[in-house]
Amino acid sequence: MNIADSVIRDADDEFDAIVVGSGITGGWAAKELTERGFKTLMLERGPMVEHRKDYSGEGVAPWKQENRGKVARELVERDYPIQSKCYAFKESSRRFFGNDRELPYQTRDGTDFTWIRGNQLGGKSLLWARQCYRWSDFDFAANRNDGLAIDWPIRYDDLEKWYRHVEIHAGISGHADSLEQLPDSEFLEPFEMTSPERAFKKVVESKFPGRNVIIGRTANLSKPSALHAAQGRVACQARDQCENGCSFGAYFSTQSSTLPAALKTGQLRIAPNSVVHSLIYDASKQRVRGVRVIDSEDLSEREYFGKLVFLCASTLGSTQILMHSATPEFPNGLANRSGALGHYLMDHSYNASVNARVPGFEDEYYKGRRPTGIYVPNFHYKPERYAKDYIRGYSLGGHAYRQNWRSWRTRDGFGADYKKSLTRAGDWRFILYAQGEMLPRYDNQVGLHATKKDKWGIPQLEFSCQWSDNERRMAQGAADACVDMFEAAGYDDFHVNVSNNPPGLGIHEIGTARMGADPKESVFNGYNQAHDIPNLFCTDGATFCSGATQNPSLTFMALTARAVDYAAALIKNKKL
Amino acid sequence: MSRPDKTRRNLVLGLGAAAAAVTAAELAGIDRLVAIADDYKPGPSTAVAAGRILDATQLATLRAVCSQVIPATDTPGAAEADVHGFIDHQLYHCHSDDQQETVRQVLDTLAKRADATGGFSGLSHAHQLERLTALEASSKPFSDEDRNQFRFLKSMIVFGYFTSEIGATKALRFLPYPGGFSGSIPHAPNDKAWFK
Repeated sequence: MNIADSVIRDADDEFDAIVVGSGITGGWAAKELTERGFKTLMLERGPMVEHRKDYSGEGVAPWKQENRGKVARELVERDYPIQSKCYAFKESSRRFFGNDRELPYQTRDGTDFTWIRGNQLGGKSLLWARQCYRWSDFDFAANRNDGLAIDWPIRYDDLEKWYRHVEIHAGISGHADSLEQLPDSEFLEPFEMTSPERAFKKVVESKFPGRNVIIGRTANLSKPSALHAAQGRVACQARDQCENGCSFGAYFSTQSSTLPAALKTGQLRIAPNSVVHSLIYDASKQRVRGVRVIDSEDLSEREYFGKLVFLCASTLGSTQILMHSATPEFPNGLANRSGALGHYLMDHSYNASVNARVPGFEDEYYKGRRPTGIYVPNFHYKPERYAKDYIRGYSLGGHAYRQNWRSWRTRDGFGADYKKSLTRAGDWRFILYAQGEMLPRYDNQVGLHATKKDKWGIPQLEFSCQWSDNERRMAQGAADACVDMFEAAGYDDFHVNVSNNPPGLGIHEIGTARMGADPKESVFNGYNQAHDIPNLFCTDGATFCSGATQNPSLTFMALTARAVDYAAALIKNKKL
Repeated sequence: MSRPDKTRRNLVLGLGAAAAAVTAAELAGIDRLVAIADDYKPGPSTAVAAGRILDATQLATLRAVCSQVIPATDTPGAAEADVHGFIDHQLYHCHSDDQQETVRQVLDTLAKRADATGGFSGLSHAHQLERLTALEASSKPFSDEDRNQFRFLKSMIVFGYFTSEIGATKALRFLPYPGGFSGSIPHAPNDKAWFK
């Protein structure tokens, strides 16, 4: 079925399943549901974006871009004052970012949160950095081991086959490193390290036992499998512009990977421009019946009905919908008997980086723009390995590169020799940055603002979220560790940066509707199913109990596929 | 422009790994690389009229500065690439009032210190170079503030040149479709760097 034929606006019939959201998790839910024969409606609050056709920023040479890729000042000030803080925001990619003027939110005095969002079919799956890492039981057990928050109701064994399932379809490039804290995925061949990176790996692994330097694991097709080729996806061309959209389908997105599979079944319908106002709850049956939608363009109202509802609207989107769906039975938000809804918001902390000069390797260079860096997995992954002054840990990302004209924009000099010097490759340098785990705390929360609404009449989210001393000490500890490793490698000219960027910029926001074994303490159970509403599932980051150090999206995908399988089995066995 | 999906699909299915790079360009659509309407068009570098932020004198000064910073050698230089026109455009669209003023001021300073009826651009090549070298060293008659202002302007000149078609494709190596990533290739001291 082609995509145009799947797009609908109004629908009177009841669907087998409604999926709210079309990003990383919405796309997976739609694929898994339609492949099981469920007639599925996927809702998206933003407009359509078609694979290839709508990638208008792709492959445009810098001199042909508006302002050589920089976004006009007026536009940044009016529409993107927050989104423009994201590393991936530029002229060629801005069409995949939400418009801040239309998507306002509030933060309590003395706090800040940088909420980075997409607003189109595919959501942030078009923009993401594609790093993919499995969680281990060290991660799932961390809350229990530290006596913090509540225990995850699942373990690695519950998820292992689902990680494999999503990896095979999505295509994850990486190397089997056999690390207990970072289980190997089903891999396509790894991207190459540069010589300085290989040398760094050798030094670190011999001088710092327990630390590893591995090639980053990324949802890019280093070498497509037969399955990927059959899907029409081509090998990654190493252009370093994934966030503009990729007509080769060489990285995982809804458009390149899950959507085509769902469309192939003929069971998918898509309703774009559909802002979900609230879920329709039938108290007599203790079931959701569907959703109320406000049209994003003309503000008209409509309803869709479904036997099963999957919330995949992004961590904060899903929680906002639940909060706005309060009923007399659930006055504090639908499914929120526990009071946990809105609380335990987390992100990853990106507040430490070190950059240093690498002597040598003058006669080597690289070719192509690799879509991943190297990765140092969390080496503080169990309590006996915690540092003295903070608990939990961080992973490190980074890469080695040769300086070029971009590093020398203010270099002194004039004339022919000066020009020539700017056109050469300079010293090698190595940069490492930390991705630190944020502890789950009740006070880090979102709620519906008492008075302020958005243009669709929905109350804005109000954030109250701050780093704790643990995150602050961890950032300093991470910077110190990077300096130690760089010194051991013989580097010089260190630039150490420990910052205080607020939560949100990690773009790994999770929590606010946590899962748990006990309905008195959690909103969803270990199958992402609402404790009190059996046909309501949520499989984006909202249900997370803790944040670990690994990028969460791969775990989102695995949880989604597993939850669909569970829901489908319930329905097949007439338990739902 | 429409591209027949069927053709692309056939190209994809018939693809071997080695053919990827060639077919890749077709797949993405050569039209992607074709001009996309942009309200900035490089102007002729011989005549300078007033720009949006810079007046005619300031633009003439800037063109001369561009020529000194990055002259024509075996490849065209910054003036040939109309970096002065680009800077005027970029300042207007992307930069703050303060930054616009910074550039105007340092250009005025250069013109004022020229002590010649033709302004800075009327000076001999040697005189222009002498002035700019002194400015960059904040030697008399230039102050630290002048030097700092110039530093900002220089960063725009370097950016404007190396993101121009001339700078990116002739002075550097520009590879829109690398075809994949190699972690180690030989590099000689005189090899040009990648654009990115």
